[in-house]
Amino acid sequence: MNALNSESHELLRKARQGTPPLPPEVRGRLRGAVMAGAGVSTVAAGVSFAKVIVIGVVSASLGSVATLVVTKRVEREQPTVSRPLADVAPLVTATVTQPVEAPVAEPEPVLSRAEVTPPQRKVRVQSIPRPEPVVETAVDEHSLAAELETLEGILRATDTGNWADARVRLGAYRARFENGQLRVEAGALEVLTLCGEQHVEAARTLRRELIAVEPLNPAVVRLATSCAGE
Amino acid sequence: MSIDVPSAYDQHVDFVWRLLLRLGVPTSSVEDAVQEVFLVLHRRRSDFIGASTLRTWLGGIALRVAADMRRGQARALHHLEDLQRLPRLSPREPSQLVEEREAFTLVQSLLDQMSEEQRTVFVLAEFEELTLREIADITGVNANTVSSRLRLARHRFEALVERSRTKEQVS
Repeated sequence: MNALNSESHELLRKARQGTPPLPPEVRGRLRGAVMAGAGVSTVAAGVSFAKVIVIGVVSASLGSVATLVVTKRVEREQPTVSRPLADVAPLVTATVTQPVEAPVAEPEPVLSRAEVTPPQRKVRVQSIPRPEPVVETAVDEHSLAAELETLEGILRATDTGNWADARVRLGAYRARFENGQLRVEAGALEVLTLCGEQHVEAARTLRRELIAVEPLNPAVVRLATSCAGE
Repeated sequence: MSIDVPSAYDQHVDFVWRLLLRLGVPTSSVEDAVQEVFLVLHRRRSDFIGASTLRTWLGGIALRVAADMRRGQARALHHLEDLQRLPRLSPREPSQLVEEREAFTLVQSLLDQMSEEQRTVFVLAEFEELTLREIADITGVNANTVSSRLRLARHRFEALVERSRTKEQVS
């Protein structure tokens, strides 16, 4: 069988080295999820996959303590549809609401009612700000796809440290999508580009502007780890 | 033949992770895919009779999961998810890491231009360094076919590398 030529061989060698490894924390979390899904005892499997939330409710007037123990299996604590690879604020959280109904006539402590809402997948498209607060309209999928494609090109450029290319592509994005639905993401890419161009102050200024517009946007949150992080 | 899922996970999860990534499962979906592979392993553990190694059997499951994921999810959504990983990139990474990351990204984009059949045998042979027999076990085609596909895949890959280099020089 023929072998690859030296150029391709060398490229593959580097690509092997450059393949992102399985992060240890993901390995552990996935293991818990797999064992839980397979019904394997986590004790036997040597992992702890349960999160125990203990909520103590003190009703001072009655001197009663109601303790609610909610055991929540961590199957998919944070769906990967929006999982960042870096450790940053989670996009998706489980909410535990606990409407405490203080027992007035009950002599015995009672459990408070609680609802555990499972994590919901959030598709980021819906959280992207519109240019103006107008009546919701359907997202133009063609336009969005075009935006994504353009941003993907910028991402590739920043991924490979090709800042000049990123700058050109950012300009093209702005020219084509003046009020783009992904303009905050484009802004985040510009911050990275500014970092790559060693314009740290400009990167910080732009990051602050993005935070003012959409502080919880994951792309913006993650800029804390860039040169613009303060 | 019984399979101990926890030890199978511990031994092979890195292989499954790499394979899914290289087969084109988006970064944002790889965790789901890994989980699915091992859950399928658990469900079908009684089917494993030891005719192939557990690793190749898992590889076969991973191929199907990867194909399902590629087909089942909207392209636009993938790209949007992948955009969310962007600030993980650090312009201050050492040059060697950048070079390797660049090579990985480039190779992924080249693999995207290959047919699914060629990509599969190429990844299994060139990245995972499996034998023709092992690849045949995973893909369910005979070794001669694997050999033929691999030869074509290598030619295709070399041509893509050449084209990529030419484009780079022009730009």
